[in-house]
Amino acid sequence: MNNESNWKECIENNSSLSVSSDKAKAKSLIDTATGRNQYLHENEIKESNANYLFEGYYSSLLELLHALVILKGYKVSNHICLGYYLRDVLKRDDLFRLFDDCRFKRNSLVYHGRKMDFLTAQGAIEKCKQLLNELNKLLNIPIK
Amino acid sequence: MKTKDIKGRMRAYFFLHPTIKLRVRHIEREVKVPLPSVIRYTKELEKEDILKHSEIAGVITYSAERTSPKFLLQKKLFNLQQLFASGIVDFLVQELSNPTLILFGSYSRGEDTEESDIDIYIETPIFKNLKLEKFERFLQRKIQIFTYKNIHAVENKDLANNIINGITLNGFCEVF
Repeated sequence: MNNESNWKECIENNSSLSVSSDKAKAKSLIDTATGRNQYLHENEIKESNANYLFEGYYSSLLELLHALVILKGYKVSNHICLGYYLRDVLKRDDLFRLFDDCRFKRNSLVYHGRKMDFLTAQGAIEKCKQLLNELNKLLNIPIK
Repeated sequence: MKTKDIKGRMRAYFFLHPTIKLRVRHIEREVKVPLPSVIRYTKELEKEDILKHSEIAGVITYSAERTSPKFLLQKKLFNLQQLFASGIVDFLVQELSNPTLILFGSYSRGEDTEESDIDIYIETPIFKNLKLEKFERFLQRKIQIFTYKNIHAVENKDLANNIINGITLNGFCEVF
């Protein structure tokens, strides 16, 4: 069970810490995410790899979100608070919903071993890609 | 606390059996509560617009006051509570990887009767044969599942309108 229900509580519980903005770290995270995405794009989504590709896209999402908050001077230690940053600080409820759904699916997969069927995993990958595009816009990364 | 519980059990009984007409003696037997409590709480529930009485040939029977806004509101809340207590929402969320779930139709409005189905819209790309018997037993209603990839895939306009006017149990339904 998470202790936080909004961004303010993330700050109060030290799940989000105020730090100096770190452009170099953000750039490094963006480079890693971009590199991984290029690799993931090269793979055709199949029944046998859809869940693993989804995990990869979710990792890239996390990196871009961490880059976003680091540029704004925050270090966030849990996934849900990254979501609250989208919802409560950036006022992007649409992005929060996408991220939260991906977070649920990734947790089911990683922590409970519940693999998604092919079509659900494919849909989850599409949601990740949609969110990655939006994060690229927020970070001013050229979309390829 | 027990006092409250007896009244709650009587209320729950009439929520589950909205068309039934019972004499106080029958309520005593069906709900398994003492007769003096039945007499007291039927009166209280009548004052609250949850029950109504009718008299035919000197025989007084009690039934649910299905037209009262108070009854409908309380029944709607009761139905939602029952649905979550049955575990069906958690089951569908886990089984179908966090789908959008919408409760719609008479059960969502608190207008259902013993014969009504519980209508649930599920937004998922897959069709899975779900075993819902244990939830049906708990809820004492049949469950009807409507599975679509998204709301735009619902060709029947009336059905689509009913769905979007329902109660979201999980997720979010993007209409526009």
